[in-house]
Amino acid sequence: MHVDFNQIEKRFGDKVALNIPSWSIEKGDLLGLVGSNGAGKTTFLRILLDLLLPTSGSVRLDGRLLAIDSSWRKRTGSYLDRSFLVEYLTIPEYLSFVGAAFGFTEEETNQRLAEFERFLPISRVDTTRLLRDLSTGNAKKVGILAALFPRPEFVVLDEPFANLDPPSQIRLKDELSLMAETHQTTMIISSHDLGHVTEICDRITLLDAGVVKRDIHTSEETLSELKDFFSGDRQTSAT
Amino acid sequence: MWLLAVGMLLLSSHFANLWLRAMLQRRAGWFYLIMTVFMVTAFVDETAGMGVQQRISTYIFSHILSGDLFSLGLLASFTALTIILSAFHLSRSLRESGARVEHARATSIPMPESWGMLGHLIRLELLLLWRNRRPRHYLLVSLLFSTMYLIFMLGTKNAFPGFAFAALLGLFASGGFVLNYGQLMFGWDSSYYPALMTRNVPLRTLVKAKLIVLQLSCVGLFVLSFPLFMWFRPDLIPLHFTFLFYNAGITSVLILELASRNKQAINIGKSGGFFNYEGFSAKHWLWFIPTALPPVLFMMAMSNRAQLALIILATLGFVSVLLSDAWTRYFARGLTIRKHDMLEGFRNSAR
Repeated sequence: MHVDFNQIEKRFGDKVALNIPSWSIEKGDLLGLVGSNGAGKTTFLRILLDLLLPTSGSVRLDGRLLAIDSSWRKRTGSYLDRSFLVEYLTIPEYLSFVGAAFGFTEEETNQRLAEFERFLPISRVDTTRLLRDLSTGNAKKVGILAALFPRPEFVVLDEPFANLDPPSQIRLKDELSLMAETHQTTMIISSHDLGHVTEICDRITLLDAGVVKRDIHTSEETLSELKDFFSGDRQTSAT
Repeated sequence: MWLLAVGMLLLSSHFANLWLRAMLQRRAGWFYLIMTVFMVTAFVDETAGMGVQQRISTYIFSHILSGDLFSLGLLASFTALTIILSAFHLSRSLRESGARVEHARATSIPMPESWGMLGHLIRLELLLLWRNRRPRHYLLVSLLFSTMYLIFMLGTKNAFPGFAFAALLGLFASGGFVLNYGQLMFGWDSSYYPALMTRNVPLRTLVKAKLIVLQLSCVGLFVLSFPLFMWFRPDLIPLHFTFLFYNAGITSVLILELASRNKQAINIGKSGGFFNYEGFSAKHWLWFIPTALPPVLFMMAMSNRAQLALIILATLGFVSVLLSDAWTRYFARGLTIRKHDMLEGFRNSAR
């Protein structure tokens, strides 16, 4: 899926939370969105998922205006926070609901979930446990699984590595890389973990005070460049 | 002495209320049994005109007024008992909190797969009711109204002599759930509204599922309260039928109109006590006027031709039920327009 931001500005009162004149992502890109707290990452993602209206400008997915054409929802998997979970459902109930939204039968949902058995062994979960009774990490795993298992064309994840145990982080990185390579999935991953994003993403967009400060293809120097930026050496590194 | 008695009465009432709520939450079978026996006895005593309750009450209060220490002692013992019982249950709840996971509630509700997303959304609504404290409270109140309260209202002699006041009874007997729970529709979904808005969940299907649940609740409560009408007030059966159609067709739609403008988040896990008004605003109170008053005023105005009034109200309701698809489209359009306002409202008020 191709995504275009055109003259996007979001204001909260007098404060400009996001100001992006032009930005786009191509089909099959695995993009890392980085920035300090309050840099505008969540605002960026919420606008991208049509959860928040920009003050001005437009977002297009495959050339179609996001605000008018809702067909993107059939092709997008996302997880930003616990509001993406229906917490009074059990894990199988929730995943079955998500599967149905993608038009899958129960059997198709189960088949697709089996492909993610390494990330979350669904055959071994407690089927009577409600999502609200899960730990933060396990709830996040369910949310990420719900975003990925339908194999959508477009995936948006906010801080997917935070609160996950190390084995799950490794498996998630494998899954994301696999989806980008073999399924040509377009993915945007917001993260504070520079190590993870530079390792798996082929492009990094750096937000600072609502403005895109860097938009670079990942290379061997990217991690140290980002570290320099965040350690305060912005005068020399900013472009 | 008298003031002391009033003080003790207030205390005992407060602690008895706490204890009753604790017992209702524990859902102990023996407690329901005792309560049922107690209520049936009280009802029989009232309707059969035996007046035992009245004699006990007169005995205690007249003796208290005359300064009788024995009556005061009885009252003091009752107050102490309520304090001990509520303290016992409070400490037990505190001990058990944290360790208790609602596994027992995780029984799922099967839906035919052919119903697709509509079936999933109806199930979502039913599980919302079953697994969350506040929605469950609204369900319980509606059930209580259509059974227990209705017994007292219908069974009391000379109550609701005219059709106009009976209209209010008809409105609540089958529409109690719509009027209570329905007001906060969409607000109930506030904690996961982004989950619905970012997935391929057509708003029309979402509205349709909610309308079906509301309409089915009217049928359910109608069936539940029908034997009571038959037994106590067979003359009100035509009215009960009329309001089944009116509530399913008109009240449900009017309430959804109000609910589709909700922007306030609701914590569905919080207690659904009578004084929890989270999610309500002034417009919820004001909306009662166009929802409840028109049928009552209409019945009053048509008191000389009550049968005709019933036929008109039932026809209006029936036609509106037939127009459910059009209503669904109308509400879905409104929700699309207000989508971002609702999302922002839910997010801001949940903080």
